[in-house]
Amino acid sequence: MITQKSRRKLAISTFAATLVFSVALSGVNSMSASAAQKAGAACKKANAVVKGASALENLVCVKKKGKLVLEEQWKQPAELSLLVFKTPNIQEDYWVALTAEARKAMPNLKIKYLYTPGLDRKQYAQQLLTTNQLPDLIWDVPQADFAKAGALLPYPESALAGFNGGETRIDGKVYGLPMGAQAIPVVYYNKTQFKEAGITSVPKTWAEFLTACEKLKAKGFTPLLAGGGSDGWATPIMMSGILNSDVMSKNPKFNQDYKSGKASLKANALAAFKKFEVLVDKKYFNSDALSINYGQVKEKFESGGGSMYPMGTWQAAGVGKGFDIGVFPIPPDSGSPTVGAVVGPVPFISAKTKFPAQALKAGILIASSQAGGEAGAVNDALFPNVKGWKAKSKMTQLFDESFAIYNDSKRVPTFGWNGGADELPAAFMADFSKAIQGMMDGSKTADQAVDDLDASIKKNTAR
Amino acid sequence: MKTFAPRNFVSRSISKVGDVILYLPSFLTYSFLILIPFLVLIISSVTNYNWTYPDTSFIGLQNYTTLFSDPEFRKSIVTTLKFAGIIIVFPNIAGLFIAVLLNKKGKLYNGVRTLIFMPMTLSAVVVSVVWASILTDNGILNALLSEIGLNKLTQSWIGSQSLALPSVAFIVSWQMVGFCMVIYLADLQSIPKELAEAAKIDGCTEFQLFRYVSWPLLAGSLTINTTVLSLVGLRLYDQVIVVTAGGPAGATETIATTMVRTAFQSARVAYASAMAIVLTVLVAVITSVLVYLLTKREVER
Repeated sequence: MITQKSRRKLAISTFAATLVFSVALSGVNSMSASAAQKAGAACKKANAVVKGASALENLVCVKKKGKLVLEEQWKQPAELSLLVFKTPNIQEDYWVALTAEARKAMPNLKIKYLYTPGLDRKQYAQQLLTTNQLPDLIWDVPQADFAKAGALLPYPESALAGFNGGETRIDGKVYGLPMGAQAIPVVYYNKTQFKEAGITSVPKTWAEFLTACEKLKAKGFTPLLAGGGSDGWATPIMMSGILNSDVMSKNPKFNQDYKSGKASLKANALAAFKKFEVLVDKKYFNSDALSINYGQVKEKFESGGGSMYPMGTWQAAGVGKGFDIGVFPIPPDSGSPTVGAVVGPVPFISAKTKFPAQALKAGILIASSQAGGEAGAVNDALFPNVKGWKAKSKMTQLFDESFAIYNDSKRVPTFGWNGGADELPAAFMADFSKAIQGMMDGSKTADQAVDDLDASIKKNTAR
Repeated sequence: MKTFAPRNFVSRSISKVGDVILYLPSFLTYSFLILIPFLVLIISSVTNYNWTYPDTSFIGLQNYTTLFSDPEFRKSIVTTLKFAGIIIVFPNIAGLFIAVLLNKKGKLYNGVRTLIFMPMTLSAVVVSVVWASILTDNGILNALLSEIGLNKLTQSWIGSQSLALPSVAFIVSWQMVGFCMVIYLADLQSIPKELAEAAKIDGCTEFQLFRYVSWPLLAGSLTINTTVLSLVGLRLYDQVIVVTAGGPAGATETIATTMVRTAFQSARVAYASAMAIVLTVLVAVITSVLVYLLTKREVER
């Protein structure tokens, strides 16, 4: 018989059970999404999202074998657009290889590859942002500007677990993963021309470097190669190297001090610009430097059209036609060499992506993939920064030598190539290229170039 | 004759509504594509909008006062005017010369006219890429000059500050010659034959025939060509970006390239908007003056 007392007990216990069950269900959000999934919490409504600490940990309610269960949101179908680029080293197959592991781990993911029309991919990304057409994933953006504009989705800290550090942060957040590293620049040289000019060892000091240039010129070779034309970014790369060696080595935070007005090129770097001026005055550069683009100057070096080619370590993927290529770091005045190093960061994720979970997961898988690291190393001489990465192909001697320079030299942020806090405004970099072009065609002295650039950094860091 | 004019207020009103309905699609298209964007541009130019900063405020004419004291912008105005000057003159002269030469019947003449017009069918970017490879220091032009013993004439056509501007202007002019030729040909072929025959009977030479008969009647073509060429020259962008990217050392930076760089690289959209307004005013003033002077000449002729 059901007495009033037992009825009361039943009501209380039912109420308690309901309460517990409601808390359990609603408390799915207060416990981690993964814990909820482990607990086998059921979901009532298809496509309902249980938010995790980041979009990467979100769960979504899906129907599996007739039941509604919680599954990782990143596993759900999505089409992501990925903005990448092509260079003489990098074609479509590179990107297909890079994304292979991601596509395998995410079978419901479709990737649509978009290619920047030129080599200035940062400017193209800016154009897409201002016209509200930024793709879901972007390989290269002016990170500081985009982060300030709220255009990027940060990665969770857990995304860094598969890398060997070196990530760039903006206000403590990571917007691109430290996939691989490059030194920008080092000096690639034609071993045959060095031998013919009687240069028996690579220059280890700036004085030896000038002596080598003079010997090569006397033998009828073009000592130094530079390019420009429609690829303005290529022209000042030697100047970046001199600045890394002479200025960044003494103050690795120079870029930050420069942007904030605590340092200036006039006060800290005039001597470095005068070094570059000597190279121009002595006519060590190729006479067509300002009319040929990056592809043409690379071809010129690989065809024996010049003896030394200052360029990023991606040149280690290049091959000389009829001669061996060697490499050495930009020689300092004295002491040990310094190289400017850039680690990643790639790929960036648009804050407006419709598929944040899938984009985050794809970004992590692309940046940390073993096959991607292999493709990067082989095609672009990217030094993989992924934990436990081992080369499957035998790397070339030039790659090994370039990697050794990267590892053995003092590493500092580059002047002009790094992202994050060290990033210099894109408009300033355009003025940097213009100033160096002016020095190379004799229309600007080192003093004038430095004055122009100090005015430019003030203009481009103001509102 | 029976007319269909509305006789009462209701009919007139219905007629006016009908007119509005007919004008509406054009007006809406014009508004969305031109009027509203232009108004947004004007409003943007009096703010400090920068897409890397969340807040935007009204700053009056500060962008304009800064513009006219900005040496980079002043230099871009001068460069733009130089480009426009070359582009207005040379295709006009070349187009007229070729039109007079080819103003004859025959398959050969038809074929040559088609060949000369063909560059107009290509995009500016394609034409620029091809010419950039010809004009580069180790390109076909310098190679040809060396081959025929004219080494002294080889130059850094797009790599030197003094020659980059005329080289890019040449590329644009080369493409526009076909357009000018077609416009002049159309007018030449509409000149009554009787005039030419009468002039020849009076003893006119070919040159006199052209000067006193054909040229005055080509006033309309001159107006059209000059107006179109001035618009091309003043708004120059594509060819500059492809061939020199505004270099070397800023020697070919036009108002348009400076404006795009300011908006997209510097993120200073409001400042770039002010540049766009200045460019619009410059184009409007220059083309209005040219059209006025040429139309006046047309009437006089």
